[in-house]
Order: sequence, then C-alpha cells, then structure tokens
Amino acid sequence: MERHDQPKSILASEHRARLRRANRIGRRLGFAGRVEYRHVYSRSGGAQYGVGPSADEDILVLYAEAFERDADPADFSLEALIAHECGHQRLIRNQDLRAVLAKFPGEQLEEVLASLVGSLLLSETESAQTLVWKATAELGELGMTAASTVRFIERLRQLLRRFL
Amino acid sequence: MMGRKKLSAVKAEVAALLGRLPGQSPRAWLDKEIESAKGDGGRDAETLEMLCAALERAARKPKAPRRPTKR
Repeated sequence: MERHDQPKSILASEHRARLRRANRIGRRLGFAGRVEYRHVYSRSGGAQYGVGPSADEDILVLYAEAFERDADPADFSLEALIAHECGHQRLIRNQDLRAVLAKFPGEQLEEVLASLVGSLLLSETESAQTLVWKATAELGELGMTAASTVRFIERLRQLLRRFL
Repeated sequence: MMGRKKLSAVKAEVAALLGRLPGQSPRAWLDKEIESAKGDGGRDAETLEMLCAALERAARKPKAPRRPTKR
C-alpha cells in the first residue's frame, strides 16, 4: 500500500466512523477507558495505550496509519492493532498478569506478552494468529533456538490464558 | 506499541525461524508437538497450530484487500 508523508484529508463523517469502529472493537475486547481517534501519523505503528491514574482513565489512541494498515492485506488488521494495546492494559491492570509481567522484565518481553494477551482476547482467529506470529518473531530475535522459542511461546500463552 | 513492521515481514521472519526447527521438516516437528500437546492439559495445541498456519501462509499469494468487520 502506498504511504504518504501525511494522511489524506477525510470527512468529519469518516472521522466519526473510524472512532466508532475503534471504540466498538476496544469495548468488545474489554478496554476500560477512553478511546480516541487522531487523524495524524503517529510514526509508531498506529495505536498507542496510555496509562491513567485508573483503568477508566486510561487512553487508547488510534492514528491514521492504523486504518491504512487495516486496509492492506499484507499488514495487521485493526482488530490486531487494538488487541495488542488492550493486551498492554491487561498486563498493567490485571494483578495476576502484572505478576507475570514482573517475571519477564524489559520492553521487548512486554511487547511479546502484550501480543500474546491480545491474541487471547481476540475470538477472531485470523487476527489472533497474526499476534502470535508477531510475538514469536520478537522472541526469536532474543537469540534462543527455534525449538526453544516455539515451546516458550506455547507455554507463555497457556500461562496467560489462565488469567483471562 | 505495535511497531511499524508489516505483517508480511513478521510472517517471513516466523517462517524463517520455523525453518530452523530440528528434524527433516518444520511441519513434521510441529505436527509431533501438536499431537503431544493435545494429550497434555498443561500445553497449548492451538498456539502450535497457529504457528503451522504461518508456514502455510508464507507459501501463499497475498489475499484481496481486507473489508472492515462490522459487529
């Protein structure tokens, strides 16, 4: 898909439709807090989770490239992007998951865990498996053998499943 | 954050990683693990099946543009 330096202008109705869709997916995946849509490029992938003083004050922000990525069959779906951010929220707000997160410190492992939690939140298999692939690719970058990476991903996902 | 890497690149990385699994073929190794996981409540066959799908998808042509889901 063609990418631009800045997002193309959209009508106010399209802006509202994007917000509605993001909000609907976020709620379905259990996001607590405010969902926003900003028609700008984030330069960070298209979605972001912001931690507030409480879960209800957390923010999930979707950006223009999230919808461009969703329209591209070679890229992640909007559901997958939102589920990943919902995964971050669960890791922060669910006490059991926070304990798991504490055992796997570091930004890279948090991203792996967020993707795996996100994959478990999704009932839609296609997007769920793309998040499992993402987690596997990121874990594979840590230098483990292929067999160890696969077994670790499998056991991590099984562990996380217990707390959702 | 989700990062900017495209799904197609992620898929290729996973397929390459799975290609380094021991044995004659990654698919055979995964099938064996799936069978083993199915009989073990402490394991997760679904995750392994999802990784199998990565191997299969890596060999396929790209799909048509995705349509938004309305639920």
